Amino acid sequence: MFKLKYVYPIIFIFIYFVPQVEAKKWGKCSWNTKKIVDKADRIMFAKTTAGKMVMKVKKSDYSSTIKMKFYSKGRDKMSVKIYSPSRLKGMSTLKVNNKVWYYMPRTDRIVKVNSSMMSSSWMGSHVTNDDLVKETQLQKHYTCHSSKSDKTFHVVTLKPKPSAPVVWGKIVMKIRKQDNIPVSSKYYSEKNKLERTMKFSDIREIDGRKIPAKMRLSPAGKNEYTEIYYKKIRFNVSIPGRYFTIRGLKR
Amino acid sequence: MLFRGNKLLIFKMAWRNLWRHKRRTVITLFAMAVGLAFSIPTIGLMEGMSKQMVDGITKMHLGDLQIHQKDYPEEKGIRQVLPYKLITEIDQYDGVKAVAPRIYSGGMISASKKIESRIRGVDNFEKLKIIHGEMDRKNRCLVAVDEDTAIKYKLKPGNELILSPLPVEEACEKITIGGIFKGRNLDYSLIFMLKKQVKLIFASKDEVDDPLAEEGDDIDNFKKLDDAGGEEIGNSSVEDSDSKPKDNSKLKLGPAQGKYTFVRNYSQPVGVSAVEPTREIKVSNMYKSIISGEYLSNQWSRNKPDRVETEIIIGKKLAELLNVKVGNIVGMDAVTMANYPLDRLFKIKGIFKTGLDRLDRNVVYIHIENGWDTQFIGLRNKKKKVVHELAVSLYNHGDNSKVATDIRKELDDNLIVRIWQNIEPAMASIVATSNVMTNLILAIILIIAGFGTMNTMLMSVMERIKEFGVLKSIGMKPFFVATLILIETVFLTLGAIFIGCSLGLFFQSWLIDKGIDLNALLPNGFTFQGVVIDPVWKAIFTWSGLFIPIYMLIFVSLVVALWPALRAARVKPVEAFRKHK
Repeated sequence: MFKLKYVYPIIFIFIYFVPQVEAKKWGKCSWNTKKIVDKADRIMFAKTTAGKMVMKVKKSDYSSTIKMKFYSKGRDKMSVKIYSPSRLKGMSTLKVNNKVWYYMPRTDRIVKVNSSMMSSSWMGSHVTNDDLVKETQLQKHYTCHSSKSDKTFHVVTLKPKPSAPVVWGKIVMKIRKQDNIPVSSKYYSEKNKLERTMKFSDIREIDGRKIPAKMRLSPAGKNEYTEIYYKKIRFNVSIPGRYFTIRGLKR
Repeated sequence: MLFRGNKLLIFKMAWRNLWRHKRRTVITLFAMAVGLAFSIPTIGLMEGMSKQMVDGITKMHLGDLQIHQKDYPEEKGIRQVLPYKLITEIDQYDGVKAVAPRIYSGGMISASKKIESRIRGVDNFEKLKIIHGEMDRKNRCLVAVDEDTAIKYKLKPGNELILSPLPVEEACEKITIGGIFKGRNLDYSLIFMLKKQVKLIFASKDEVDDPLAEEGDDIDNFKKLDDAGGEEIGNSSVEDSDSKPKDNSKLKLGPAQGKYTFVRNYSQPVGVSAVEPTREIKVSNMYKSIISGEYLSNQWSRNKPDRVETEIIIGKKLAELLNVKVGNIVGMDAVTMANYPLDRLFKIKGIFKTGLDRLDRNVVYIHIENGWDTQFIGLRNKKKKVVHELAVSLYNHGDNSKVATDIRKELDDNLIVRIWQNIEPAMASIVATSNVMTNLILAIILIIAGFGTMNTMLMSVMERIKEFGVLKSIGMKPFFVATLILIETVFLTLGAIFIGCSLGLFFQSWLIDKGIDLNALLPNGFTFQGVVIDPVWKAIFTWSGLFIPIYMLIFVSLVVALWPALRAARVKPVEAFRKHK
């Protein structure tokens, strides 16, 4: 029986070590692609972020511009407060984990967004409440389907893992080679139809990081878009916990 | 010849012949009369049903026809509008009874209910008799609530209550209901939560200057974290500072029990219909569905809406979901013309029950001025009032395609006119089918009566073959004999019409007045394809509904009498005498 002592470790080595060697590929692409995609995905990610942004929504023949301050902590806490236009001033949105609350200052109400409202638009934009709540991590929920690169760009096609809680059937990302900054992401439905396009532009250095300051989300087939422009961002600052509470919403 | 001598003779003979067999004649007469007496109210009922269906469709909300911007029915875009001024034009067409303007938007309605409750601190929840739910220890703001309160405010495990006013920092700002315990007939609400949390809620806090109070640029004032630039941070490393109160030095912990107010928020997505009450009541019957409170009034003062709550009417199911009654205040945000939502407080003026789930749960009605108000939906085009829909009601439902074409001729190309049959094609085909059914039922009833008549006439002809032989042998022409039989039938028919009409109209007047009450069979109301049909099924009177069965009866009985008449006309005297001695 003493021999089993030696056999077990060998079995363990086979079970744990061998697959790891194989997993050094990410789907059909190299392990390096995963790093590139992950870096592009988390270009804005920090322990905490705080800043000001301008959201421009253009729909068929009307547009609105909303200016807001945002605070986020990790992936699961976010708070947005509008400061312009004056009609919306003080209106805030709080997201903690997968729940969303609105604060409507004119009527002093706190409204919890229930599941049936999740798919409706956030502040009239092309972003839905669901988009706010669902924090998809590309490297975690998707695998690589194919990747191409030329002199300046990587073009990576991602497909969701079978059990991933995501809505897209395919994502095509274009990433700048020199600094791993995303240029565009195209989101396809499960039927392989282009649904929306996200474009990143105006790359500049803000608070020590090189980031695209402008993001434009446009649904396919319509002359509409939602544009987010970061006026100011500070990464990794200490934001008091109360910013992410209902108390903080009402302030 | 006999004809020439006494023109009335044939009638006299026919009349006498009829009464030679009184019983048979009377039975036949009644068979025909009852057939007629059934057909008249049947037609009345069937026509009543299709009218009720058409009414149900057109008067619930649709109107006889609707005018929209041409892409609106498909896309329902908030900016696909038509001018409000069009109303005065449409009003002048022949047959138009009323026009109602409507503005649609979507939003979220929410109501908050204040629950005043005593809170009592416990070290752990193990001693409580939890009858529902589970006490998860991970959530520090988990509470147990007594059964009566839970029933009263419809609280379920998992529901969240917000404390009002919000207590000072570190205390729970909202509590989650973990379990419901059996109360001992308490006359107050009771909530158990962890002792430490209760103490925090009742903690008195010395004035600490709140940095959030100032509206300044707080973003620049944040201190940088020490390990700035740390990009490789997973979720787990983000500390949840809420769960670890560190700075308790400023707090004086208070008692572990006391009273506090909790707010339960109910919210529900709704479709918002802004209507002009004075015009709307002429087009739709919605005001009749109000079960408590009143319909919207036409009061609107220009500067008030942000200070005084404006009126709203909501459905019964929605009222149950929001836990509100007439007179309560609800808040609602709606998508405005500028895409973003704006909100406003409303006072519930009335609650309606249509029996249609879609309306009773998901639709609210407000005054149309809310739709034009720039502080709310703000539906204006270059400052001019615009609407999404004009619903037109007509004096006569049947005229709608004609009026629609009339209106169509004069309208802009970017507008469309649709009759209700186009908007609800499924209902239209059902109404058309029911008209066919009516005629089918009528035909069946009368054909049965007709065969009865044929039988009688045939029998009486067979019986009297000898007589016809005599008539023939003294020189009567076959035509005379046939006419005699037909006249007998006509007499029978006339008698049947008289009795049948009186009986039928008597039944019908009762059905028009009282109707057939289907409430016992359909306790929850009768909806069909999204149309509410009155559970009291009433007949209606139309002249065609009276005369069509009469004409059909005359036609059927004459047709069926032809064969016996011909049979009698063709009698040969010799054979008649030989066979019938």
